[in-house]
Amino acid sequence: MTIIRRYWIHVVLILASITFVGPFIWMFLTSLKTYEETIQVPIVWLPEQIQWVNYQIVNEKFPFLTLYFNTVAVVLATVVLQLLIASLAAFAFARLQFPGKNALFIIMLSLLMVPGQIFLIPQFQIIGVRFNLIDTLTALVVPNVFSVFGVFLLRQFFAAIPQELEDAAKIDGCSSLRIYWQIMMPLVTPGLVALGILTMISSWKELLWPLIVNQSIDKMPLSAGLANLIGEHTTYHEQVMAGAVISVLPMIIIFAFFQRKFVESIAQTGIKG
Amino acid sequence: MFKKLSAAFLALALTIVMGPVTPTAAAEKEITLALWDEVQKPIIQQSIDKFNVKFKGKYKATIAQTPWGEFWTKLDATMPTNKTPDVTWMNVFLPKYANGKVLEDLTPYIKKDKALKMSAYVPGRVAAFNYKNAQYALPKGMDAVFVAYNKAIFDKYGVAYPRANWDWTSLNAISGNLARKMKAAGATSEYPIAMELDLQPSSANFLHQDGADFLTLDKTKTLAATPQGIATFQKVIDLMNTGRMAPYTVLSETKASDLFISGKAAIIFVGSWKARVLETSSIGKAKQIGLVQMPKGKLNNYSVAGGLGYAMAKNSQNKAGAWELIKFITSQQSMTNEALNGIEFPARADSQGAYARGFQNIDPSVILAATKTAVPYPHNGNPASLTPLQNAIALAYSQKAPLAETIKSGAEATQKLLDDLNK
Repeated sequence: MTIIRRYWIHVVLILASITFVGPFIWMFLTSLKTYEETIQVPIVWLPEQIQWVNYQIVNEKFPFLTLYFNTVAVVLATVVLQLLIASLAAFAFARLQFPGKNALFIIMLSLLMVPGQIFLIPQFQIIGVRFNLIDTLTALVVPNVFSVFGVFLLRQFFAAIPQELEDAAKIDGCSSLRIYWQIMMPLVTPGLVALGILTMISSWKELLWPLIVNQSIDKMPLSAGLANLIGEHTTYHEQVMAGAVISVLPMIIIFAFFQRKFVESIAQTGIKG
Repeated sequence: MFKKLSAAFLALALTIVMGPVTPTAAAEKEITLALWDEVQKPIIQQSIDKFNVKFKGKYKATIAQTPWGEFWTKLDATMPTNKTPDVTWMNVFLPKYANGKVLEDLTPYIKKDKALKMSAYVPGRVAAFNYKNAQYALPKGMDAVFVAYNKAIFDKYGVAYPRANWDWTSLNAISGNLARKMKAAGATSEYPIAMELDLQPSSANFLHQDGADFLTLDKTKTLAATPQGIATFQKVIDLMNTGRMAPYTVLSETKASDLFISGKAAIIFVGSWKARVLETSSIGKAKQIGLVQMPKGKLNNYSVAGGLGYAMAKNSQNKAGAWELIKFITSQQSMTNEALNGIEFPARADSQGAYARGFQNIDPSVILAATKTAVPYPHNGNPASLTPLQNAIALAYSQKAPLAETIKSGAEATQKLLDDLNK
């Protein structure tokens, strides 16, 4: 590789990293400004005096610890239950023979073609009113444990497993459930990790549903709590950004630790969240 | 070890999330108040706290805040069910919810309640929440549009401040004078005038002042495409094209109020909802902000005014408590507190005096005077019917399409929708 080519690659990479890191730095810098500095024209890049007080203000406005806890609990529960349910369905669609299988699968896939907002009001009527789950963390988990996309994704992984493995297990007397759990699940781990990560990200940043179904701030995840800082006429951008910094910190830390897995899993599926 | 720990943690998370809902002691009946504004919430909470003390053992009210962007979606989802908020903020969208039969008609409550004096509220605001002879909300506050100017910029260029009772001729003269001097000084990022492209603090006022209303008071017609309406848009475009107002490209990128507070615009048309921002800005604190009524158009200088009200959900499970809450938060005591804290210009006369006391840096008497002559904000509660005309106005200001044809086709589309609605 010539030196010039290597040089260009680096220029491109540096530009790309600035594009990706830029918003984070901007968020952090804005969180340290005064309100007036955030709306100045032309843009004020650096705060004249660092305003750590913004962090104190949002911290007083929101029970961040509770919001964190809610988010983590909801995300974990959603991920675990979704992986379990989606993998069971995917296993059935990929490996079991039953009448109407393909028709059923196509009907299910058709749900993917409809924008999720359409389900909002019926979903509220079922989960909020019928099941009486308004203002509970359960209401945030239940609608997301069923994922058509997850079933679709995992089905491809299950389908790719050689038939011989299943046959061998059958000869040894395995039931379908045992084949699913002991033979197949370990083999689809990359798929499970990919789906788990995608679900985690989408569940972490979910906004509209928590705002619709829940009311008290101590039953909200971080995303919905932060949205409350956005006013109709005036938004204190510095407070929103301080809150955003606080809420993305754990994600950044998790990413730093599991970076390799993230990249691997996305490379495996070719899908990004 | 790690596996066991994470399994235990997972189990804990699942139990907490899926665990049974612990019932609260139900001695007090709960009342929920839905609102969207983060800035107003802490002050309204003070009134709610007093309400809860007064009705201790009987009712307990809580605020359910949902940001503006999701507020109406949530209302649409919850109001038809028995999980609706009992009391909600209401604005010009009232007809939609009244037609949807999810709001309680408050007329019988008002008639029965001998202690409630409806005359305490500004009549225009009471009328704004009266739909097909039913009163659906008690008014909270009202707003108005006025002009703010940056004295420092005027002084720098040696131009006299706008005077009370000015008109568009003097607006043209003053802004022309500023434009010339700014150009001579090479100040390319300074503008004599800035305005919001949003209709409420700008075009809706100009149209009414010229007698070419965006929407007539009876909400059946738009006069925007009349020769006078076209002339009104033309005078705004002229301001842009002669350097007297920031160009469309700037106004579509940056809020006029941000330009003004940054010291980049000498004059802005601004709504009273921004009064607090003006008061606490650094140019405000330096006593550099002057306020004056809007310049007189062909007919008058009246501003359009909106305002919120408190409505009750038809599906509320506790209507008696909801009614008590509505009365309490629109009472003289509660509204005076909101006025003192500068979050609202009250829609009750006996609380309005307190508003002035909330300001030290800008002159609230101008805002007060603007509310006296204000006319209702032109809206029929059906955003979809007004969108074609709103889009046409934005397109006309961008000057990417010819003015008269653009406005005419937008107005025709809106008029057709209005006619369908009023059949």
